[in-house]
Amino acid sequence: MLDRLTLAVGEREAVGVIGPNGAGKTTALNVLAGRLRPDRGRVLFDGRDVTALPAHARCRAGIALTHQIPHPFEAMTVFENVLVGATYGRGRRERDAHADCLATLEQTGLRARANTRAGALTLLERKRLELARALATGPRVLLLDEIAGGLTEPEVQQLVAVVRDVRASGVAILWIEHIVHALRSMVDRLVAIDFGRALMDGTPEAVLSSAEVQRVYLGIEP
Amino acid sequence: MSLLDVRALSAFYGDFQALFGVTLEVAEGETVAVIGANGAGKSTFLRAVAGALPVPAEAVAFDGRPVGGRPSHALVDLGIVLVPEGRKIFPSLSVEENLQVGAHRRRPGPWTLERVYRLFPVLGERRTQPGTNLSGGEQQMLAIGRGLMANPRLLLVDEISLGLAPVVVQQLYRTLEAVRAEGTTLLVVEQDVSRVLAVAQRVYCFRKGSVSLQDVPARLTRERIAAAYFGA
Repeated sequence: MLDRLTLAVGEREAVGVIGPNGAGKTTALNVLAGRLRPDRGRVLFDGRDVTALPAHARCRAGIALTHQIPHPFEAMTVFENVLVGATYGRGRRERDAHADCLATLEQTGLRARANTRAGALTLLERKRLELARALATGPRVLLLDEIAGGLTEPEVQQLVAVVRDVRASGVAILWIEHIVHALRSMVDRLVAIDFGRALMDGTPEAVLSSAEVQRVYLGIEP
Repeated sequence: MSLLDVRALSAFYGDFQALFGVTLEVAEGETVAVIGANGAGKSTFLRAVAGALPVPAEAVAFDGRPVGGRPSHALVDLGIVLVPEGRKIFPSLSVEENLQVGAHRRRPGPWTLERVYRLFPVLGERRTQPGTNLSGGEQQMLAIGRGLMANPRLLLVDEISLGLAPVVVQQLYRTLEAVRAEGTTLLVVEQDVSRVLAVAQRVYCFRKGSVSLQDVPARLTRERIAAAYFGA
């Protein structure tokens, strides 16, 4: 699935990942988050080799992942879902975490829904909750897997605004998305992946204007 | 005569009313798109047409006959097939077996395994793998391929381009155009408004469970669409 992929995200940097379906984008995030072990190669976080760390330990270390299809605890409230991130994901004691959880809900626009059962949320709210749960773990880098997929254009813009705000608070972002204009509006760099390798890595303008990316990904014939 | 004729359809989830008197028609051979904010009732509408929600018989007519409330498998026999939201791939089955499930009650028509593999070559390459080994976008391809395997007269696709690379979306719409030319009618939910305006013959916008706008793309301006989305 991945073939000697090299990918780096700087502190406070926002990097977008594009590539054809099956190129290995989600697999790459899963390797970074510790859900999959690479057969070869290493994952370094803040200079430290975390390749052997399991997912929960990487989460505690500051690597958080959101999923393509949100899977909240449906029967729990929005607040309780975020609390799981703050306690199990970050190691906070429950009563110490309350204020932070409320702040996270505020930041993600979910404060008014705090006591709603997660199963009753709309898609945009589920995406916001996916983000809130990840943020509650106190990440230094946030891995986003198609968080804007399935949203309407105005909803995409609302979500981009939240991600931009997260980034401004000092969290680095690595974001897979097919909604290219959403990525282009906020990332510093774009990496195009195909066949499990980085095809191109550079500014959004440079990557999107490359003939190969246009051909294999955007479907624009020269 | 319309192939699909929905009259004043209301639908409920328990006590919660999700659709309020939706009237919508699709002529044979047309591509009709439904747009609207999330939560507007688009998926519920497709589910109601496909027999996944209880609705009154007279609210949904297909090919001139009232079919509302019939079970989904009976509707598949008539040629109404839904590609559901969230892909719903059978995890214990291979790619090819997932496709064969779609052919279980297949009608005669152009779609075969070979034809689906030509549309989505990656599915052919991975035919023996479990369906859930595929990437998200590939699972979307599999869900669409499984729907086509029934040789539908009316294909309902929820979030048709969700998770697909731009190049695949382009190829998919190009293929669906060919499918439509052969007589399959399409009713799609799509978030990409500019794509909708390029491919659909008619567009309906839903808002809070009702139709807030319907027209042909040539008469739809950004302002009218925005007003229909948000109720300006």
